[in-house]
Amino acid sequence: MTTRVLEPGHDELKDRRARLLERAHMSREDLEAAAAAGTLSAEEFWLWEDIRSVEFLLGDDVEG
Amino acid sequence: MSKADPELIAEAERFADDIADLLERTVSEQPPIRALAVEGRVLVAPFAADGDQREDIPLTVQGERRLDLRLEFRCAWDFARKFLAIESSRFALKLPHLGEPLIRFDYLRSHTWAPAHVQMHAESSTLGYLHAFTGTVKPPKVQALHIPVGGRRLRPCLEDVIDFAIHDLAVDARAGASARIGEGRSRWKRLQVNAAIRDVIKHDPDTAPHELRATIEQAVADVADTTAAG
Repeated sequence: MTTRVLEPGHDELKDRRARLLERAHMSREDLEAAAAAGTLSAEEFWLWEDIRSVEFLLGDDVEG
Repeated sequence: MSKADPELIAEAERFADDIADLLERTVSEQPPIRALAVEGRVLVAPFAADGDQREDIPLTVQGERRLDLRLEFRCAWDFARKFLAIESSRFALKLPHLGEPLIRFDYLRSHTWAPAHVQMHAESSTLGYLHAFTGTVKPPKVQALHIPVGGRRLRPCLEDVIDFAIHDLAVDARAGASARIGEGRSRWKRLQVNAAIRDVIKHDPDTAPHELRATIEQAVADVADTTAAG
């Protein structure tokens, strides 16, 4: 493995998702609903994007 | 936990190297591009060294940081397991610190409507008028519109976004940026044409190969004629 490529474990990614949700001060469901309604602030929007990236790696994403 | 396929890792590294090279030779110094690989999935984006914290690429205008480029690619093997297929890509130009986006260029492979689209963050009185009188269009925020651009194969590439930032937003470019953008765009076009050919053959394996061969032969003859005449 090179420094350019990292292989995080599932537990590490789940922790990361939990930390991101904590920073958002919202449940995942509320974030998803607010994202669909277009009512997220800029900061919340990028946090939501980060959460979805982690979920992509976990295989929990819906849309890729 | 099962580790990612070594071939996938090698592809991910090549891809991440290419993105880092593009940024370094156009608008950035030492962009922290990394690939996070988990089983069959790869995420390529700027990350802190430990891969935990996402970062943006700062862009300068007349030497001052005025914009950030946020980018990421979510990838997995293509159907033939020969290429790293992009499941989605997201590029955004946003204000530093505040995080407000100016424009986003998204590609979502699984979407049937406008898989490649641009979302401009702005207000529009025209859209407000439509909303007020029809009640059927989306809320009067321009960013709610997914403006289709080029479809799956001819969508804007990262080179296009960088070029846009340089030309229309006066982002500072490094010496030789234009040549590097041209090289990348040319490679992108070739890759996409190859992928489009595979798409066509996959959907019509009986007649498509013959049609494509005829088109290629004609194109070769046309180019030869043009070269001879020139």
